[in-house]
Formats: sequence, structure tokens, C-alpha cells
Amino acid sequence: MDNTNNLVDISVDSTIDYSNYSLEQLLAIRADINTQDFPKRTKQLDALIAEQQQQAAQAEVPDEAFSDIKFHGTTRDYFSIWIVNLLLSIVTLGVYSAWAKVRTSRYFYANLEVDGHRLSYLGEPLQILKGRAIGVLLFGSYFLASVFSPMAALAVAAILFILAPALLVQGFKFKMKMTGYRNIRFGFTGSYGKALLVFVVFPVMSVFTLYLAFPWAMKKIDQFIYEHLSYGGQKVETDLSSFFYYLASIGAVLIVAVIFGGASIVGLVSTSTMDSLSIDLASLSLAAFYLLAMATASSFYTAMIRNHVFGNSKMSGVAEFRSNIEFLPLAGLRLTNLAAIILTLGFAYPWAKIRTAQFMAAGTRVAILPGADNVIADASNNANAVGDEVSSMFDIDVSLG
Amino acid sequence: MALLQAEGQLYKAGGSASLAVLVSFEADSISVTCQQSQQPLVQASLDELKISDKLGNTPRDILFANKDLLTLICTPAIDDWLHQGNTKSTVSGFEKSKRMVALSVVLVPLMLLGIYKYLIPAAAIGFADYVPAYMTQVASEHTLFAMDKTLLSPTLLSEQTQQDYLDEWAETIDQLALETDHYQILFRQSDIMQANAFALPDGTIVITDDMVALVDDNPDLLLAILLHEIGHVEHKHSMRLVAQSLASSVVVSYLFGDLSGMAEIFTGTTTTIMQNRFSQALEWQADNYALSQLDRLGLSRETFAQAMEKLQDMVGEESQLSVLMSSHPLMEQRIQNARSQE
Repeated sequence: MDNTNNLVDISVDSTIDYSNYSLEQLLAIRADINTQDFPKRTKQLDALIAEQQQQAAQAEVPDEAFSDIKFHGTTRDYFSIWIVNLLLSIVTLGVYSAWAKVRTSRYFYANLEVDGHRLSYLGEPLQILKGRAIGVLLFGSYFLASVFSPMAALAVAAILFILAPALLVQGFKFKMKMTGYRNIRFGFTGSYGKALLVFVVFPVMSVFTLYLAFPWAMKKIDQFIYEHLSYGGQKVETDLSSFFYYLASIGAVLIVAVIFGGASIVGLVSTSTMDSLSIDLASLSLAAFYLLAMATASSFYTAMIRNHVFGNSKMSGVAEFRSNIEFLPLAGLRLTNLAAIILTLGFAYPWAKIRTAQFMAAGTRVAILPGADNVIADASNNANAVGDEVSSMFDIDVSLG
Repeated sequence: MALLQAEGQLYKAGGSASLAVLVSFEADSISVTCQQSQQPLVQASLDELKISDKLGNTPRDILFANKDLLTLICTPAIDDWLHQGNTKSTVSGFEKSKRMVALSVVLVPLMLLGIYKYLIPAAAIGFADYVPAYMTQVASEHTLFAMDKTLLSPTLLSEQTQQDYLDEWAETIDQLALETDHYQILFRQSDIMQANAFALPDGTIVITDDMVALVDDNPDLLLAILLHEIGHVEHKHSMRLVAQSLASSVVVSYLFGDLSGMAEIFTGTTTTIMQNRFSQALEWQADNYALSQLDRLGLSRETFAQAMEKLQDMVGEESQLSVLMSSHPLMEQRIQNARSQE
């Protein structure tokens, strides 16, 4: 028993005047106190800690508390990792691709530095392999069912509709559990019922509103994902506003309309003479306009929503986030990435992936608050310390990729 | 005095608190002391540690038996120390070797080409042979049922016209020593499909009214088209295409599944082009089947060329680029092919 922080008589469980103690000091005492011998004092401490934490949470975090996220990965390193692992995946008929995925994820996580600490990817190749085997089986049976009988495919599709939310929840759980930071794992606590609601019921219902409710349905999805994230025993709090989802959606639709409006005017002028060559040119430029519209509209949406979600999510007393992605640079990044990948027949992929990670890291700021040192591995929420064994039958991410 | 020393970060088990530490590497043990207080924190021998594989320039994670986690950026000397228990990662060696990277750059495209050009088509032929007859029958019946509900409506041709065609074709099929009862020819009206003909894997061949009208002046042209469809059935093309599409989508998502966003457009388009190449190869085989059967029947290959010309008039000008995005070869080339082998 170690109660050296207590200056008064320690043998009796009476309350103590802690009013001059800082939150950190209180937490330190709370961590060391013998809760069985001193139930009153423990209760008092808990109340004080909760009060101080609430105050800290309400206090505006000053701008200088925010620091940049650093990404240390290089195209040179990642290109080697990518191409060598691709070769190994091919010669092992795909089996090694599970190991390749782990190495890729580890590379990108470990090169991400937040507040002087690196993230870590903790997934094991065998878990990935298992998930992929199930993924291939599901995909293959759906594909074959759809070939051999459109009616059977309809039945399988209905089953997948019901199953999809479970797979999504499972995927989020796996992804979060396999993400570590400062020896603590992240977690996801969303339930199947809610997932069914936000991923299937709401989007399907929004069809009957002529998609007018679709941005709202998108908000419900994001709200569901972010508010069920946790770091150790610490929950993420998110408060999203439908307004931004409508703004982002309307903006994206307008961008597509403007670009295609421009394209069709150009098209009308040039369709006067249509020989084989000009058909080629016309379809190529139509494809180019399509990509331009896609990249710009999706970047507008991504930038606005990401900035909104990050700005309105926090871990009380532990961390706050900011995202200031601008949509035109993001659209430029996506278009140049695609152009480079096409022109190099895929070889520019590692370059594209690295610069995307750099771009996203540069657009993100995190304030790590004093409480970050005191996040504890949450025992009620299974094992979530990095060193804990978590492999169980359900620790899989069912996917092909 | 320790062999090696390094600075790192220690995360005690169970919480997120971190300490800047000094790590000392002895002969076969490691000890960690707090940089600030100089207090010894944890000590272990090499075989008690769980060490993450070397990966690029990333820091190494070293997990102690008590679940404390040590993270440090390693110099080559420290990597060597960590690898003395024979835990050196072969893959990391490959990734660092210039020769291995260069070899991969050459071999990966070649092997992918080999997979798509030889392995998948060969596997597809094997698959098509193993599909049991009742499965192809179920597949055909269900597909026809679904198409009748959506794209097709009953034919407007008179009973007599239909019977005339069927009688003639029954004779032809007999002449070619094919199983007569294997083939069932149906007429359907379809506004959407226009002049078209298609074969189902069980030998059901559907010809649209517009197709009959298109080549009305010469029944031999319709026969040429029918022979092309029979070629699809004889070579089990439906099942081969199924196997090829399935295999190529699985390969793409398996090897390139982590491509997201705009890069997906690249893999998606590449897959489409690949599928079309598969499909076009099968069309060529069916064309050449039709041509050789025309020879056997004593008919001119010109009839096939003329049938294609009628179709070409209907679809209009084709661009060179569209061949990438089409499941069928260019009409022009198909006509050329028919005429060149006369």
C-alpha cells in the first residue's frame, strides 16, 4: 500500500481536503489508493476527478495546444516493400498476400507520429488470411449463385443485406483493435442492431424521399461509426450536424452539374463531324470530364465532411482533433495520382499512396491533453493492452482486399 | 559497460503513460532505465522479448513478458543485436535488396500477364468441363425465365415461318453430326435487344425477330449466325466466361484490394478491359467455328461476312477505341477474318 501523497493520518478512512490538488495529482493518488480500506476517500476522489475532468472538457483548448501529425514514410522504402511483397504474393498463389497486408499496414501506421508517439498495427497474418478465405468463399458463392440462378442470387443478396451490417461492425472492431497507440488498443463498440439501422434501413428509406433524406442518412452512418470508437477505456464523443452533410452533398451535385454542363456545350460544338477518330476523341474527353467531375465533387464532399467530423469529435480530457483539408488541393492530388498510375501502368501506386498519407497528415492537427497519460486499458472491454492476446475466432476482418 | 546504448520510449503495461528511457544492450540481455530519474525500470534476456520484424525505417516494437512495450528507432548495430537469436526477417532483407526489387519489377508484370493470358483461361476450360449438366440446365432455365420477364416478349413471327426455319436447322444440325435434341432454338421479340442472338449453356439459342428481319432475304445468313451461337455452346463458352470473370475479380481484389478511391478506377477499368479480352477471344473462337462448319456444309464463308455486314450497318460507325470496352471484336475485323480465310 502506497499512500505517500497523503499528508495527514492515513490509517482512518476519512475524507481529506483535496481542493488544491491538480487533476494529475488526483489521478496519481487514485491510481495508488487501496480502494478496499478507503472506500470513502476513493468515492471522494472519483467525484473530484469527474468534476475536474468535466471542467477540463468544457474549457476551450487553445490553438497552441494543437500539433501537427507527422508522416515519415518514403516512396522509395514503400515501393520496395510493395513490389517485393506483390511478387511473393503471386508466387505463393495469394497466400502470402495476408502477410503483405500486415507489412503494408504496419509501415503506414508506424510511420505516423502523433505527439511524438508512433501508431502501431497489431494485426496478425493468420487472422487476415482467415478473413480473406471467408471473404472469397462468400463472394464466390454469391457470384456463382448469380450465374446459375438469378432467383438464387436474389435470395443470397437478401441474406447479404442482412449480413452486411454484421460484417461491417466486425470489420470496424478488428481494425480498431489492431490499432495501437502508446501501448493501448483502440476499440469499436457499435452493435449489430444500430448498424442494420444506419447501413441498411435509413439509406433504403431515403430512396422513398427521392434521396432528399440521403445526406441525413450519411450523417447517421458517420455518427454511428465515430461515437462508438474508443481508446482503451476512453470513449470518443461526436456531435455531427446534418447541415454540413446537406451543404457537402448539394455542393458535390452542383460541381457535377457545372462540369457536365460545360462538357455538353463543348460536345455540341464538336459533334458536327463524326468520323471514327472524332468518336474516339469525344469518348476520351467524355471520360476525362467524368473523372474531373468525380474527383472534384468527391473531394469537395470528403474535405468538408472530414473537417466537420474531426472538429466535432473528441476524447474528453485526452485529445481533440482538427482537420483543415482544402478541396481543390485534394482534387488535384487525386487527379494527379490517377494520371500517374495510368501512365505508369500501376507502378506509381506506392508514390500515390505515400503522398496521400503525407497530404492527410499535413491536414490534420491533434491536441493531446494532460489526461492522455492516464488512459487505462479497459478491462471490461476485453483485452486492449497491446501485449494482450486477442486472437479469437471472431477476430477477423472478412474482406477480399 | 553495456555493448550498445539507445534512447527509446517505454510504455508501462495497462496504461498510456510513457517514459523517455535509456536502453542498454548487454551480451544477451537488455535493461531499461528512466532517463530522468536514472531508475532501472525493466530488464530481460533476449529470449524473453517479442520483437517486431524489421520494416523499412520504422521504429521496432519490443514487448516484454510483463507487457511493457519499448519502442526505439534502431541503428544497424542494434538491429544486429536484436537479430542474434536468428530472428532476422528474410522478407525485410528482400525489401532492402536492390537486386530483389529490380527482379520484382520485371517479374511481377510478366507473371500477371502469364496469369491472365494462360493460367486463368486454362483453368476456365477445366472448370467448364467439371460443371455438371444439370447445373447448366438450371442456369439456362433460370436465365431464360428472368430474361422472358424483363427483356423479351413472345415472338411475332407466324407459326409457319418459325417451323420452316426450325425444320431447316434441324437438318443442318443433323448434317453436322451434332446432337439434335441438345439444341433448342427459340424466337423472341425484343425492343431493347434489337437484332440479336444468344446462346445459353444448355444449348438453348434465342434469336430475336429483328434479327430474322435483318437477314430476311437470305436464310443462309441466319444459319451463319446460328452456327456462331452453336460454337459458343460446343466450346462451353458461358461457363468459361463465368470462371474467367470470377477468377480475375478474385485475383484483382486479392492482390490490389487495398487500392482505394481514384486508384480503384484504374483497377476497375483494367479488369473490364481484361474481361473484354477474354470475351473477345471466345467470340473469335465461335466465329471460326461457324466458318469451318460453313465449309463442311458446302456453304460459302461469304455468308458469314454478309451477316456481319448487315449487323455492322445496324450498329453504325465503330471507333478503334471501343474495342477495349466491348465484349465483341470490331465488326470490320470479323468481316475481314471471314473473307481472308476463303
